[in-house]
Amino acid sequence: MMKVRDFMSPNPIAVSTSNTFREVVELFYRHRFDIFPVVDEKKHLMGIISKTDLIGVFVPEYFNLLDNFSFVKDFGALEINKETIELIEHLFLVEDLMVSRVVTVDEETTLFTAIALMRNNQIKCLPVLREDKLVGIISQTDILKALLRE
Amino acid sequence: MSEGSLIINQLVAGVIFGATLILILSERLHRVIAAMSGAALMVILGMKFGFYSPDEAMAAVDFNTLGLLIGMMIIVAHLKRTGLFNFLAIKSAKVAKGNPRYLLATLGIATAFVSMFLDNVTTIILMAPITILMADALGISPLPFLMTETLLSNIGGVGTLIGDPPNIIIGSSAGLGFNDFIIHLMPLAIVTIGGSLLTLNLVFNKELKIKPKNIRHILSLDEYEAIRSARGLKRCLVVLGGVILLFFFHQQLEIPSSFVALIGASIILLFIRPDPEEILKDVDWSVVFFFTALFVLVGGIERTGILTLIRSKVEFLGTTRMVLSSLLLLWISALSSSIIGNIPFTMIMTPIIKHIATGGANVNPLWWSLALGVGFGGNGTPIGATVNVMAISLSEKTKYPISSKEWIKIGSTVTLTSLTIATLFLAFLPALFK
Repeated sequence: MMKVRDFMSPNPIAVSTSNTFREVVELFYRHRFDIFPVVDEKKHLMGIISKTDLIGVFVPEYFNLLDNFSFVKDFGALEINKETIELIEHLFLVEDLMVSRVVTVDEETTLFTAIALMRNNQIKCLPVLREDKLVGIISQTDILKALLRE
Repeated sequence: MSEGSLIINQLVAGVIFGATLILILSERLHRVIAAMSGAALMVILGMKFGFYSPDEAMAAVDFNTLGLLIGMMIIVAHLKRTGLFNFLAIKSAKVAKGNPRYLLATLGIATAFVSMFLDNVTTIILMAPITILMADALGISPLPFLMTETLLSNIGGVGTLIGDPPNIIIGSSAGLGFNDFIIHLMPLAIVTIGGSLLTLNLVFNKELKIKPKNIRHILSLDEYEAIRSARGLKRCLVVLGGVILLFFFHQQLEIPSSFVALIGASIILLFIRPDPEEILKDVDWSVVFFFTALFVLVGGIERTGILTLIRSKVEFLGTTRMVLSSLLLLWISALSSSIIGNIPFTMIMTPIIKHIATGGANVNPLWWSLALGVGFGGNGTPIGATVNVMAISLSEKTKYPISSKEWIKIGSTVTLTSLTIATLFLAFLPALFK
């Protein structure tokens, strides 16, 4: 039976809760991943952070309650300017932005379960755990590449 | 039934009702789960002890109240998809020319007016995001506007039969119709809206003094762009207008108010032909089930005669000078609603006032006092009215979350203003409440 262990990318790059907005952006720029897992010093998974989480900071939370804002020609004080960017890049930490409820798999999980979890939750990759510690990441790209090679 | 078993029944029913109420207030359980479990227990133990049967529980549910609620929710579900609320908020801001003090008044009055005919929770859910957006764009705190809209939606709702759920319950049990509410409560509601606006202007003086940064951004908003479907909106407004017109005549035509709302709901569904599944999802079923369960619970305690006991204690309300009784009821209702919420209190009080009426007294002034007390009292605390909780949770999505302490401070100031106005009306214009 195909197992997650055989398809995952082991020892993924992870960030800590105290990393700044700017540090994570730089990591995304260098590595071109969709997400970074967030871990504590003992490698326990605390959450994940994606580019969507980062970019979301520039729009206030209540915007998801507005089904339409085509009537706004100018957002006034809300518009993004240099000061907003400066404030955000140093002030916001990973712990303010990460998502802590994460779908994960164990390295012994079957590949079929991992694909089903990705599909049902509409996510592109899953953190892989061994005894609650992060040991890898399995992404759609990993799976497709490996399956075609088979 | 022996005296002993009567007391046991009263004890059982009283404990179930009290425990349910405590569970609801403590928020340890969702209010719907608490009320439904309490209602189920009331029926089961009622059958065991012989004071309540499933048939009696069914009879205790006021289907007129439920029908009116559901019918209006279906109409509102159509209306909320049209962009009307964004249109109204932008128009209000433009009339106010972005001046915070004027904006407080125009947004407050628009919300109060809409709340007279539509459900408060939906009104606030739809008015709040655009209000926050406009305040944010102006660079000022949205808190004064959000609180004013919510407090005035509760006050506006007092003016009509369909404005606030407690009024629906009162109208249904007392046999009071749409016009009765308009004649007896609307003038007072309008004066109270004015008085409360003045109070809120003073309370928020510091926040409203700030000169907004970019008024031109507000003036550049295009309210017509906010309307999603002009055709849909026209149809909704025609039906809503027809429903309100029919409400004016429902007593002469001898049609229950729930039928007016349900006829309107059917016509709007036929006119717009949306996906009914989608529309029915927008009906707030948790409110419908909460009401149903509370009716069953109150029916249970009514069957054991507890309310007759209470009635004997408050019988003087029907015999002393009516002005004094109604003033007393006004303040008691306001205080109790602030503590236990206006819906449970109204449900407890309606059978009691009905009992007093059986003694031959004209209890209409008491009905009006109850409506005013629970309507205005609901503003006093975050849990006083359902919409308050909603406004607080919406404010948490902004940089200015409303704390419970802040709500009590501002809400109770507005409640005191409203109750003072109501007291003056009841004391000096008793003829209006006959």
